[in-house]
Amino acid sequence: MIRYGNWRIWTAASVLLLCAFAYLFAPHDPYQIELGKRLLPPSSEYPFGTDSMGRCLLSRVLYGGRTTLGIVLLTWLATLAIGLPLGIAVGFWRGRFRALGDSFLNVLASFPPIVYLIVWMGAWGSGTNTVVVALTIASLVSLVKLVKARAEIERDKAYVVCAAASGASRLRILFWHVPPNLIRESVVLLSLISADIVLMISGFSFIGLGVGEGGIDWGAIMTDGRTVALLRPDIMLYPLALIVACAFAFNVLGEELK
Amino acid sequence: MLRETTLTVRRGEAIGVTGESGSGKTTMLKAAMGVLGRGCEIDGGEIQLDGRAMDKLPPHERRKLAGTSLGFVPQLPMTAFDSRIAMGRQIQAVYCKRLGLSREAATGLAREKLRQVNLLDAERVMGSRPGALSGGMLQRVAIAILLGLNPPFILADEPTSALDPDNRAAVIALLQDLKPTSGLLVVSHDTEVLGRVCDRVHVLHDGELVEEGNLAELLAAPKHDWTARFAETAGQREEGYWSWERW
Amino acid sequence: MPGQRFVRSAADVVLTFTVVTLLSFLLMRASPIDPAEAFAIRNSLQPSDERISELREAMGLDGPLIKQYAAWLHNAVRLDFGRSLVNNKPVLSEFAATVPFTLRIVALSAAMQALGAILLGCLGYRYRGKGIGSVVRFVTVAGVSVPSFYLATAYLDTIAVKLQWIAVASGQGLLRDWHPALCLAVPMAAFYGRMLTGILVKEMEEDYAVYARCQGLGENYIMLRRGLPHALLAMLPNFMQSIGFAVAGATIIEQIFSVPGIGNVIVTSVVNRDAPMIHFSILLLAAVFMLTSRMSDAARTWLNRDSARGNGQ
Repeated sequence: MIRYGNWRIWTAASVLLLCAFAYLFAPHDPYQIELGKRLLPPSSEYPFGTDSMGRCLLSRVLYGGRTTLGIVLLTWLATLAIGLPLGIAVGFWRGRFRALGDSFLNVLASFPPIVYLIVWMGAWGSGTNTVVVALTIASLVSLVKLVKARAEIERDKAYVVCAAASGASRLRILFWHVPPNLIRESVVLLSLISADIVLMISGFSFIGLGVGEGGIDWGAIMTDGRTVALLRPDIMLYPLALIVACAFAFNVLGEELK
Repeated sequence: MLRETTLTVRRGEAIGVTGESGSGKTTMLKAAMGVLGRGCEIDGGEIQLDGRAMDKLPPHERRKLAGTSLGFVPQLPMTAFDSRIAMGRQIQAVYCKRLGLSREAATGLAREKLRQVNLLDAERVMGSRPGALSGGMLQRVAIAILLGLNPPFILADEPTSALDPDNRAAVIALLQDLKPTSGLLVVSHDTEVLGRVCDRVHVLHDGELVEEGNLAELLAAPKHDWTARFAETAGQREEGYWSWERW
Repeated sequence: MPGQRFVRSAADVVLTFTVVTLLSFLLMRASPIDPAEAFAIRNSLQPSDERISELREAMGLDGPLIKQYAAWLHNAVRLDFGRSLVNNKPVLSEFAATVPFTLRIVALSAAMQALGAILLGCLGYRYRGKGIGSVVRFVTVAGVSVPSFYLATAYLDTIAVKLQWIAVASGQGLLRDWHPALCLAVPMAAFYGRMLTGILVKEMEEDYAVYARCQGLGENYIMLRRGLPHALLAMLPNFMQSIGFAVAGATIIEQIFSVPGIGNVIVTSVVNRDAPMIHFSILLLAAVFMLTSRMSDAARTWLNRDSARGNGQ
């Protein structure tokens, strides 16, 4: 069971929540361009200074957190909502093409999320929605593989068979009695995937794909910062610190919950 | 968990320890060898070798005792050896390290000792991996290694429990051969081992030593519950060559 | 029967390929971006609708999906994957030119990663519970948390350029490859190093290790000569998989180091909505992952059989 006194889990969770919601405390409008105030060093008005378009860097970084973690959150919700029932259903299925379906699923699950991102963006271009959908599909495949394997094991266990004997359909039983371990394992899987996702989202924004024009993302801020690195070398470091913090937090969360 | 226990072994004599599973027999041996796994600790008491406290030694020194002063006979010879390496190399590694021999000298010694335990096709044995040899052969190899190391004390963890009757007899004979030069501490359930090899037998129950004596005495007049049950089943068991009345 | 299994395997492979490529077709079809339109816009300022539909017909993008797919498949079997919509060069040759670059980087990275993982894994085991062990543990978790693209850029901007180790304009040979390979290898070495420590902890409590200690062999000897080989074998399947990950990870790294490798070509095609190139990319990626996952499975099976034999079963 989760040891509630485990400081690592709480610290990691706090970091993530902070990054996700701190945008509510942003001092300025992150989109507001002030060409007269470009590249100002950190001050009391602009705690991180301004970027090359005069926008408040702190606000942009905080909104970047909203973007990235928002994507991750949506991905989690969609993946769990679809993946858990789907995985259980597939695990129960005893159709003729199970072996083929199995190997197909295994191959799909062996593609890292980056492949899905590339493919999806090829079809739909950049943009937050595209990214969420692509990452959801990528995580779904891994989650379904995990849940299916567990469901197959549970399917033949005594408690399921007994309950089935008393009239309920096996499927319904498993839905109601989803083993707590399964949820925990899914969370571990998603946490570890999320660490990769955070890195990937910023990575893609860094090279110009990813969330696209309208969105603010840490990777994009870093690209900006790179061009002016001689004048303001610190610009790259703020978003970097947060990227590392979030990825680290997800990794810690995944490891500690194991 | 093992509680306050005191056991003394002298060279030339063999002490047996028996008791139900989980009573701490293997733990005791492992503690004496210094190979307790993770999560096990020694809480109190002492392990002495020739009057010197062993457990207070730094790990490096303690490890040196293994193989030179203390020998070990494993319970499961099939898994005790590394499944990927040929027997010859494994034996040679021990001899080189513990006896300081060169590779050739070690190999020669190995061959000699293997023949001594009646593994006459020593070359084949040395060239094989553990998977190609039977449990009985592997146990004999373990004892052969000990013959080469010649440690003053030998600890044996249920040396016959994984063996068939023929091999059991062979191993018992080898243990008897080892007795004159070494002190033996043998953990076993096997009445043959306890009767033919050991001079005295201690009974361990729930981590404590509850009874001791000659095996015949114990079986004839058990004082503890467990010993009584042991005596009963020993009598009922068909023991191959010997019945318990012999003692 | 091995023969039967091989046929099953082959059928699996073919089927997976078919489904994957069909899905990619569906994807492109469902996409709001029309390659014909994109092409037309790129080549003339204000293309008329007739021009666009002419183009579409010429590109074979009209007609039912099945027909398009069948046509593509028909050509694919003859190794004709069409021509790039951007520069009209054959898709296959465009990719073929890039393979050696990526291959070199991935191979080099695999070697570095193996060495790094072994080092970190052994140190992490040897000093577990002590100061250095905590440092190693921190490094391994940090290593997978730091974005490799940042490592790459930081590396490029500071070390390489400043010290003029890279002639930014051009450069051939091994010397050029090891920079991106290093950036690719670091996070993976951290990841596998951590895994190796965990496996070592388990292996060093196995019977053979305990008995080796009873024989008086030293702890370091047991770790290096007995435990490590077992642990490495156990990790072999994972390592095979990592090759696939390396190819994928190379995408971003290649962009940063301006290496004209597979990843770079894929990203460019995605940006340009170059449909034939994208279809082939998907095929290629699918092939790489299928190959590595099969190798990994084969390694797993061989290991199980080998250890079963070793234990006399």
